[in-house]
Amino acid sequence: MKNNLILKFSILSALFVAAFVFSMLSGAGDISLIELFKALFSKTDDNTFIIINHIRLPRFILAVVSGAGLAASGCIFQGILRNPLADPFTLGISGGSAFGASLAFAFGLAAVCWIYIPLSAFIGAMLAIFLVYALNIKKGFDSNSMILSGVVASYIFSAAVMLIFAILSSDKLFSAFMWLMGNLSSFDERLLMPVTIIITAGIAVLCLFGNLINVITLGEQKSSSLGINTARTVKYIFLLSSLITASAVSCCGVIGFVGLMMPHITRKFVGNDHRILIPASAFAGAVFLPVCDTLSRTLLAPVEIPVGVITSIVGGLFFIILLLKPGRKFSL
Amino acid sequence: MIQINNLSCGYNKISVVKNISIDIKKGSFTGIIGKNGAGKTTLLKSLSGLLKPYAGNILLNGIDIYKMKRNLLAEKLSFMPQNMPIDFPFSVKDFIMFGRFPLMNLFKYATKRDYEKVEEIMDFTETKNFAERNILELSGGERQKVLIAQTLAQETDIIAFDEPTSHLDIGSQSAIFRLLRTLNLKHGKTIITTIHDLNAAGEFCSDLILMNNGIIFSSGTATEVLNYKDIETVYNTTVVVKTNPVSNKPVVIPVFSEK
Amino acid sequence: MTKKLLLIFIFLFIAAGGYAEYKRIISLAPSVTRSLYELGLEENIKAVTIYCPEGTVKKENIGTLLEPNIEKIISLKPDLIISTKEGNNKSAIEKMQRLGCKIYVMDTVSSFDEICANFQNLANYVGKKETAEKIISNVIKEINEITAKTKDKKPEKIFWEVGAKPLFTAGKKSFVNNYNKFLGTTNIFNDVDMRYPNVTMESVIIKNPDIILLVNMGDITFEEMQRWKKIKTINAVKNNKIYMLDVNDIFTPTPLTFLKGVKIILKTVYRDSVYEK
Repeated sequence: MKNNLILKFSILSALFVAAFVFSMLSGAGDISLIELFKALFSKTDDNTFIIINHIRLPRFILAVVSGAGLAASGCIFQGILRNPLADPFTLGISGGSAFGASLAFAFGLAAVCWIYIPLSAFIGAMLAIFLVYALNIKKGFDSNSMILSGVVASYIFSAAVMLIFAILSSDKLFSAFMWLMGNLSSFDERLLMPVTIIITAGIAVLCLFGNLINVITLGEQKSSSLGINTARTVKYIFLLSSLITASAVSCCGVIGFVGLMMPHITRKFVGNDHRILIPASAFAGAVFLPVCDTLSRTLLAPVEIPVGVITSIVGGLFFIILLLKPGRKFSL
Repeated sequence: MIQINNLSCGYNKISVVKNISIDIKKGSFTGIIGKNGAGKTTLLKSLSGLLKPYAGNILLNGIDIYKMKRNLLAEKLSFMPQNMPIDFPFSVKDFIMFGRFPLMNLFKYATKRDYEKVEEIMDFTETKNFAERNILELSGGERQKVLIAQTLAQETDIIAFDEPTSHLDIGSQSAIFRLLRTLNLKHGKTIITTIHDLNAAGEFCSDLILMNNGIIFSSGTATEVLNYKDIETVYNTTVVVKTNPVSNKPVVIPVFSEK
Repeated sequence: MTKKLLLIFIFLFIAAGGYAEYKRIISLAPSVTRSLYELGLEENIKAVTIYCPEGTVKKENIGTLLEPNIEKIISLKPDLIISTKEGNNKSAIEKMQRLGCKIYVMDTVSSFDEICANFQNLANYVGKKETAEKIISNVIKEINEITAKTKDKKPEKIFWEVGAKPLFTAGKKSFVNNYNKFLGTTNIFNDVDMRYPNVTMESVIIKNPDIILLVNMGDITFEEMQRWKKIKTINAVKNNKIYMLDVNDIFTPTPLTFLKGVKIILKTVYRDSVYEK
């Protein structure tokens, strides 16, 4: 079993390297592998250097970090809520961040300073998290009430977003709408460092909680009798995952499907033990999103397709193939 | 060993268990019986540290269990719920291993000793031959054995079971109870369980607590508690109490004909 | 008898809209409003959408392009409603038609010629045929003069940035692309057969424009200029030819504003005004 795991992680690592090369070499202009190395390791002033180091590399890093964060977060939510349809946005975070961002667009904050849109998106996400937290504090964070409050939060914020859209002028509306669809092309590089640190640290902590989450899936009574303060633990894990998601969303907008599908796809290969599943999902997300992002900017070059479209199509197809394959039947 | 003093507890500020006091002896096989809604599970959960009382306290060897650190209590007392959500296709072996959570090292990875213990427990509970199977694919009886194994993996002296044999056929039921009896008599574990089957209660339990409407109606040995007068009062149905010719334990037979 | 016939004939002719004059016009788009102002019909406009250019008289407001307030429109009893094919809410238009309103829909334009044709058609419809003919011929005359001056200069490549985050440009199907014809320049994305495609920064770098024009709709700041200035391999950056333009000057498809747009761009880009009138 151990050897099997090592093999699987090696394959994932190889895929990661392939994704890196694919992302760096694809796009406008022909860049060869040798030129890639030169651009990465020496300093020149030509187009290749700028494209690789100032455009593609930051974008790749953001995709890796966001993909990993969304996938890990989705994995956590599916485990804790014991729901295969859960994803990082089940608890209303997408609604909250959409609301925050739309509000900022409405007030023209996009033109004032680069930081206002991501900051507003982040604050909006935190608002949603706070709302769900407040709704749950008396109920001890059991899975059904969390899902219900997440749905409520989503509806409230969606309504608010639609209200804003109804009264926005058409050009601002368009910017807000494009942001909502999610894309990795318009983030500010200054955000890259803080977001990378938050998400990487967050995922590392979540990986340590692996067995804890396994036990929490056994239900509140059993996990409490095993010595875990279930309500408090769930609260912390949920806040941490939400923080990771909010950070990713503030940079890239709402990219669906990664958080929902990557844990499922990963499960088919490594099983349900969260000690392995969480890092594996993160890793898988770190490979998946950069590939989708590169496809989004190369398929119809020079036109860019919103990355959410690609993640849905690619992820969906892949998952259908997995579902149709004969083999062990999983409930999730 | 466990002292329950003036315990009142329940849900949504309503007391289901009302001001009861009783002691549970070390090494006993205590059964909690009573009608549906009498407060059996509520009592069991409360004395297992899962339901904080509204009034009164529960002392384990003199220490209030709600003032203990949760993981310390987990080393002394384990609990098997009646209904556990089982949504993930873990293998039986992995599933049982989760029961060792409080005993595992800081990073919660299983050691050789953990694996050995789980093997032992699988032998004991006769679950070894489906160790690698997916828990979602087991039959009711098989699953119940696995759940018990998981609880035993915690290696505590006191084990609480909530209706361990509901939905099981006669064969599985006796198998489970015989397992529990061995745990009690041979391994010295204190067993506390809620039961709805009065005959199993009579057969296996050393002490019985008969609950009615949140209070203790009577308590004592099986023969003392299972008399037809009390049973008829509590359950509101006509019964006849006989003695099992093989084991000499009381047998409660409901009478359905008109009188 | 003949007199009666003549009267009937004239009456029918007027009724047929030959000399139609609409006194209660509602405009559903800023470009329409601007066109009507240019035709001297400001007085005849009863109501406009929220983001229309202000005239001298404040108008009633009937909602936005996408959500016109149908009730209010009906209550104002318009004799003509003018909308655009793109940008206006098609189902709202159809509903108003079913309710018996007279609606004139203006086509989407993708070139200066089409702008003029559209303008003329509208003018014909509202009884301002000669006015429009005069305006158009003046505009054409001026624009030809400008073209004569610019056609001999070396054609420079322009990147037209119409949106920053994400990056949007004007493609072949946008009338903004047509500015290049009169400026003597080329659009680096004129091979993309779309109106406003979303493009990647890398493709701009590779195509290496000589001039970058940022058309500001309120979402482009000086930060955006800084973003481009960091990429020193682009000609436009090397020669410091990055300019900001206001959307209202560039994006309204009427003959007069198009001409004005050409002039503004010339002035902004070629400050030495060799090409300026």
